[in-house]
Amino acid sequence: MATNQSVFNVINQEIEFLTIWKEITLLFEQATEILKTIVDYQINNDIDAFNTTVETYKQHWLQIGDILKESQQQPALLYTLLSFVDISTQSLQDLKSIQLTLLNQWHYLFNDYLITEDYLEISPLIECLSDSQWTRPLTKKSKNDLFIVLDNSKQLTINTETLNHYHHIWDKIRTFFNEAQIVTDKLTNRSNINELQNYAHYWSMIGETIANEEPKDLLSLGDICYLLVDNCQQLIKKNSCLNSEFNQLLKEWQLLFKIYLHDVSSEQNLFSLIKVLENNLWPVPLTAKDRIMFVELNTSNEENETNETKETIAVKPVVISPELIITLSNEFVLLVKNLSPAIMDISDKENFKIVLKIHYLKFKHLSKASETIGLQGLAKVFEFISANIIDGCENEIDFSKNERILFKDSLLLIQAYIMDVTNKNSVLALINHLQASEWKFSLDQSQAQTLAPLLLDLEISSEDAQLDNRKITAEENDISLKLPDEVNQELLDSLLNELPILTTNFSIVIQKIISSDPNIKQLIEAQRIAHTLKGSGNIVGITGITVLTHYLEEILEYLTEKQRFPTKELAVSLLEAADCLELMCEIILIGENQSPDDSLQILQSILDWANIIRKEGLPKKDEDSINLTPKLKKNDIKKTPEVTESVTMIRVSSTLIDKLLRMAGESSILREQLKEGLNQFSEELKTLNKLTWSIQTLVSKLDKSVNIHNYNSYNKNIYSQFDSLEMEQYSELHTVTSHLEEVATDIRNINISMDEQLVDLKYLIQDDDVIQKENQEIVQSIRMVTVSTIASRCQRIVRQACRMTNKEVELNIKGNDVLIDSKILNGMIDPLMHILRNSVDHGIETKDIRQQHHKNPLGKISLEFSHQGNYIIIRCQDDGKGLSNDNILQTAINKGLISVNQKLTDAEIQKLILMPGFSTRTNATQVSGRGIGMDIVQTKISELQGQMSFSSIKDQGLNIEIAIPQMLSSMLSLLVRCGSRTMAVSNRGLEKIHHPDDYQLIKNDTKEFSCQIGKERYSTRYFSELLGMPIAHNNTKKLPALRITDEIGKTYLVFVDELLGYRDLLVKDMGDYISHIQGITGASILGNGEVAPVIDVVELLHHSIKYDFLLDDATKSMINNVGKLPIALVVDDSLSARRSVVMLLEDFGLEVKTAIDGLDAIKEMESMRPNIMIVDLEMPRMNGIDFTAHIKGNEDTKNIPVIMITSRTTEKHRKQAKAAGVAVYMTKPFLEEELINNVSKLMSS
Amino acid sequence: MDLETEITDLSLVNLLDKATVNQQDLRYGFQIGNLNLIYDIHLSCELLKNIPVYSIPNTPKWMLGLINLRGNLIPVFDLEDYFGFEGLDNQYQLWLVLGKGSKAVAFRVKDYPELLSDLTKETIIPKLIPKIENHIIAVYKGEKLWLELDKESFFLTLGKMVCI
Repeated sequence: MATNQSVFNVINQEIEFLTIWKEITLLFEQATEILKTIVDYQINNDIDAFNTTVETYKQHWLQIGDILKESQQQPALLYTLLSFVDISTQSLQDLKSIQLTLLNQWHYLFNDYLITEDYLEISPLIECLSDSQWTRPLTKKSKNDLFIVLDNSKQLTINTETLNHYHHIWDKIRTFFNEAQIVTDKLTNRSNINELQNYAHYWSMIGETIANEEPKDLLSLGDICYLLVDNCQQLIKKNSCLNSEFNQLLKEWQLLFKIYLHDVSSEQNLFSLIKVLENNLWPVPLTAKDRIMFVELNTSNEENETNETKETIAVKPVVISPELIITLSNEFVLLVKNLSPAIMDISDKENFKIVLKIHYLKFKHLSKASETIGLQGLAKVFEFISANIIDGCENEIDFSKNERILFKDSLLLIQAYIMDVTNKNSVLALINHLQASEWKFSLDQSQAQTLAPLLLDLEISSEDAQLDNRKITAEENDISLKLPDEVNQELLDSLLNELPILTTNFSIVIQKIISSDPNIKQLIEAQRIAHTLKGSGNIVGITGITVLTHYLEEILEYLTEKQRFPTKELAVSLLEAADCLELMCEIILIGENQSPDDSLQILQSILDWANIIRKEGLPKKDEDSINLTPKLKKNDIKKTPEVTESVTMIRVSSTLIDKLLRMAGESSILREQLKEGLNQFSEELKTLNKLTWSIQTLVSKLDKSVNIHNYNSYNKNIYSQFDSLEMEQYSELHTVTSHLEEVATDIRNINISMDEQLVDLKYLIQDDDVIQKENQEIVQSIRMVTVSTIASRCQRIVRQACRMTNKEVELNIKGNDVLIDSKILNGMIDPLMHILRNSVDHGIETKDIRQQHHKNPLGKISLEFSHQGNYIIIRCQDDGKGLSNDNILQTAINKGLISVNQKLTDAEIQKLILMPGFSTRTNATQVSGRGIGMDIVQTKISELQGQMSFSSIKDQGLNIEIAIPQMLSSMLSLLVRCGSRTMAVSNRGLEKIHHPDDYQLIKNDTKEFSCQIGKERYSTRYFSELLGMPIAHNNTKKLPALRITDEIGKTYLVFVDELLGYRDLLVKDMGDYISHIQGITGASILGNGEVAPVIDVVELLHHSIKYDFLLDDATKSMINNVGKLPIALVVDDSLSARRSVVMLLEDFGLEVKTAIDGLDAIKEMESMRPNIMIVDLEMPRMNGIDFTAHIKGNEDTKNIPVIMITSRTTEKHRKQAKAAGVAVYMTKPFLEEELINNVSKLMSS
Repeated sequence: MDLETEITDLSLVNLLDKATVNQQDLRYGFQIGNLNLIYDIHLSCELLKNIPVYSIPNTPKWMLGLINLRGNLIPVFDLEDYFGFEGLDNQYQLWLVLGKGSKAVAFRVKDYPELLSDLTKETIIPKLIPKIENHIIAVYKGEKLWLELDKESFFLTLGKMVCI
């Protein structure tokens, strides 16, 4: 025990030492700054300022001395410092420059002393003070005295070896920590697994150091380090990259550990570390139970703690958990085990006292722990024991046998009580025992009466009690989406990035769970996502998300544990909650904070389920609840792999991305122009080469002629006596010819060099081409999103439509991973929602009818996304009744669009449904029959330069195919000449290009041409003809042909005048006013600046049906009404309320305008007339009732129906609204279906 | 490119120095057949001369095609033809571009637009041809009767007709 005592002393000394040195260092740093000023003043000869500053400097040293005095530590150093102050008092009055140097020397010696941390090595300081240059240096005697004190200090230091041992441990820990810090920086930059491994390694080394050296105060720290390592290992195992949240967390951990290193004595510092490990972002976060254990473990070592109440991180759960009682019980049993040998050994009284002294604090901590978990009575009991022990120890009470038995019995009774806290007999026995007079501070009657209920109240600390304490009613605060005032922007950004993915995934998994083929993994996955959402919501501080996901997690946890699937009713609630979470996410993403209107109801429903499940489990009477086989292993939850890997995300404005895309596109055009120019240059160089050769040949000929000429004129020459071999003779012509030959040779050489350079340039451009292409792909990918991002919304719409029509439909989405430009996908949401609603409402039959037709009662809709060339193809297929041509025809006749005797092809009939306002339904329905038809879908698709086609088989279903070109991107296109124009042909449907020799032209009976290639015969078309341009060639001339297959699989040969080759083209749209021209995808600017239309031949082949068959009036009406939607005006001063209604009505297929109050609405109505208005009651400037009265009082607007939505539920408000002219009065919260129903009814009337 | 392109900037900035009148009262006027149309001086506009127009198949003949204006593709209309007036001779190669970026649109005009001031707003709108009656914001009186064109709605309608 003596060893233990000395160890604790050393620990305390060490702790005190660190605290002292922290203070001294701080003062010294201040003194350093002052010293610098002293030097400045001395240089400037500012005596007053100099003296004042010297005094301040001295005061700092006095303060350092005071600290040492109070601590009674390091007497040698203290005396040295005092000597210095003494010396400096004399010297500094009239400081000479040499003394200023000495002062500096002293100062920096002290600095070295602080840095080296060899606290006993102060000899250099003493030597410095002995310098004779001081006005009054240390005398020899004083110096010797100081050295004696120093020696004594060394002797006085208790167990220096142990202290050094501690230094050694801390040195090791610091080294590993520094290494880990370096890795953390790397992790933040690169986030790779290897670095994480290194990081974990250094922390395991720290843990190992602590485990090997076993310093008592660091055991809990060791465990904490191991927990961190565990978490890192988990991350490594999952091979998941660290996201910004983790980086933040690691940074936080490193920072807190750094702070901890500065003051290891601070309990708060250790708790801060523990708290970091509780973060739900860790794969294995610290549980509340573990936390208590750590707190206990840590505090149990602080044996010298005084009676002062220390603030600890209190775990204060509302309900008492049996698990926590078990933890407490284990701790208590451990304590009893430690105490028992000493209690039993009556002979050694001293030892018993020591043991008690060591453990009395343990009782205090147990008291605190009991209080924390809600065992108030037990806390008092521990306090009672603790108080008696302190008294016994302080007053040197001789612990006799009786006292020991008293003590031992109390432990036994406490143990019995902890074993069964509801047992009244245990409580009574315990109270009786504590009232025994043998105790120094026995319980009096009143204390016993106070204690009894505290102990007895714990009857309710059962499962039932937990239920009683549980939340029963959801409150407004619980659905709040308000962000905290000081939200961490980085965390918020991360949440904003992951929230849509998580909520969407949650929705998908819940749908799978309630599908016909669920499995346990989906339950686990849903639980995991709910848990992650809860954690994320908690970190940022969004209560709405946290509370809802908390109860969802609870329900899912139960289902997973019990291996059961949700009942029908629970499934509905879970789905609603998933939808609500998605809606919450959308609201948060647009920066608003008002919760969805039905969120309180949904939370209440989830809360009710959680409470029912907690109390009596999931009701078994529901047949839909199935027990799972095979049974789930306990560890399965942990083993489930993560679905979505987290990566660091940043948010960038879409405008910036658009600009990037445009620049990438423009760069590709320039590159094409460059290539074009280079090709031309290359061609011209070839010509130049030929010309050079010609020149050279001519020069050779000329040279020959000149030589002959010279020979002929030889005799006339004055050198005639010489033979030509004896003497060469040149004329001027000869010289010029020679020069000409040389120049020609030079030109040829330059030509060769240019040729080589051109080849190099071509290679460079090829390389650049590859890089640019890759660059363009990356830029394009920024805007790409997967289809899965809208999948849950599609499912939600189908569910909603099913609820309204009372049909059962399963939506199967294929191609969830297909990447689509987010702009296109967003633009497609409305048309898709409309198509899906139409399919449920008009296509899929009711259950009864389906059964009559021997169809599966469960209707099926398949939505498939794919890429075809540069197009995104979306197919929506249902197994409903398909289009009824007879009905369409009859409706067209009734509407006066066509005459009774007119005969239309099937394609023409089906095209009628794209006409504005065309509906075969006689009554408007809640879901899609509201006076708008597929024309809106067509308009929206046209805005995206897309096209839509149908194929329908009666009673088998309708297949809608939508093809949308991917704009703002380059695509490989075939350039063809058509008359004098250059056209680009998109690659959609293009299978092959045929040379005129490849095919045979065959004239059939009707004198039309077809083509034969091998055994296959193809229909033919002229490209010019499809474009409505004159055909330049006669029919018999064979032309190059494009083999193109249309969307229904028919193959054609399309003749083109001339093929110009493939080019990478940037397809541009034609401005905001030209949405879509038949067969034209867009246009492209060619290398020479010419504009080439990009032609979609498939569309030209299949969609050449025009509305020529319509009567004139009908055409006019169609032109005037294209794309016009009924307008709804939403008047509400709350942005979020407006937004939720706008979204709902837009999904319903209305164009929605908004106003913030009555006056704003009146202004808005100056430029448009809504078909319906949704108005709030209470608004600034002009309220809803006044506004309605105003509208109803105006001749032009009196017929516009008004729906009022308000939270005022009294009859008085209702009557007032009715009197003002409100058609429907709805109170919040309202059901979406109810509003749609009312809108639908009012609009159709 | 053989054709010489002449660009005249009519933007407000260039004109402000010259014009001392209140900006609010300033408008540009141009003629299409016998229609006197005006537009707001704040609307970005420029005049192009002798610029190649590239025709687009499957469009009405009053949709002349597209021009390449500094890398932007701008639809070009022959409004004389659209309104059913006697078309302009090919000697008139003056194009007025209204708006910028994706909102830009061009059409052939006979003369440079004229800067108008001191116009008074008329309360009674005269009977107009159906193709324009829904696209007139206001009627002003100066030396002639000027119709203020709602550029957005007018060209949207034109665009829709091209696309049918």
